Amino acid sequence: MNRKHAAIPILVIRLILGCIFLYAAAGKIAEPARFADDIAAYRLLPVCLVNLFAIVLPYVELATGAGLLFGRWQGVFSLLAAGLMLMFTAAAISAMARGLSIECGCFTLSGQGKVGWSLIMRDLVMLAMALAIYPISCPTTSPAKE
Amino acid sequence: MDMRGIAARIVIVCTISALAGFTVNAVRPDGIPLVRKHIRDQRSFTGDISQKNSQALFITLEDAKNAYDSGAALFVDARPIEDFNSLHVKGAISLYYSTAKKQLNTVMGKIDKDRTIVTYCSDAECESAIKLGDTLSSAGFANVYIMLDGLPAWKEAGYPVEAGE
Repeated sequence: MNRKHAAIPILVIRLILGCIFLYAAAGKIAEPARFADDIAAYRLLPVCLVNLFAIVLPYVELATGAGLLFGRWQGVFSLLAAGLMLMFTAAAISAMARGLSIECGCFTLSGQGKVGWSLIMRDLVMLAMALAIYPISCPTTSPAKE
Repeated sequence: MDMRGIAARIVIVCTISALAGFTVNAVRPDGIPLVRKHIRDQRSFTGDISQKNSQALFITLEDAKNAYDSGAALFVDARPIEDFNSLHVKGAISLYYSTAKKQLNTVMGKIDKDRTIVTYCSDAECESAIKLGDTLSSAGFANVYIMLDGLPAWKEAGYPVEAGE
């Protein structure tokens, strides 16, 4: 399937990812103290940085979700989405490796899930989705006859 | 767009997002402090009950267990209800810290204000139990303690837990 024929799947993936990021951001923005607690439970950041992270991250997710939905700067927002998913996946793997039984801090609006393999698989699927919609620049005058 | 252009735009998006986050956090009533204090530096409890003042104090896992065994203490779970339903200290009641003020009369209306109350949440890094402890202290409960180690330590110690509502 070439890039032209992939337009509709890419659009669908972009819209799904955009909605997921907006939903995740809304929950974190609604309850900043709870999200800060969730971040602290990972024990990855110095305590003094936890709240700064909790204040900024939801708005990066919000911008990423909105950007994916609107379809502008697709390269920028697909890479941002991939970067965020990479970070979340690494944090979940790190928490599991250290034997932490904690809330994932993903969607505070719909209740929390625990950090575990299912979360890591979900994160990896979303990472793959983000990379799949990264616009690869193809030569526009490439030979059409193959 | 080349990679340099994409990187520049990612920096722009992150900067605008950060500014939005700090601005909203500064104006909203439930905004959080920019720098989080280390929980264990905030207050301490030596185990001497005579030191009790109006503010909820930390209690060790062992002291919490002693209070539990005495039968006089009421354990209050500060986590969301779905977490409470999956596992909690046996006999504890649920009062999610975020909505505690609204639910105070419903949940705690019949509880004696002098009763020993122990709040807890997920672990030593969550602040929910502290916030709930302060809410209860402010509401007039005189003997409120915070079990900072939380439910995982309680469970790992082999102390009584149960699931369900």
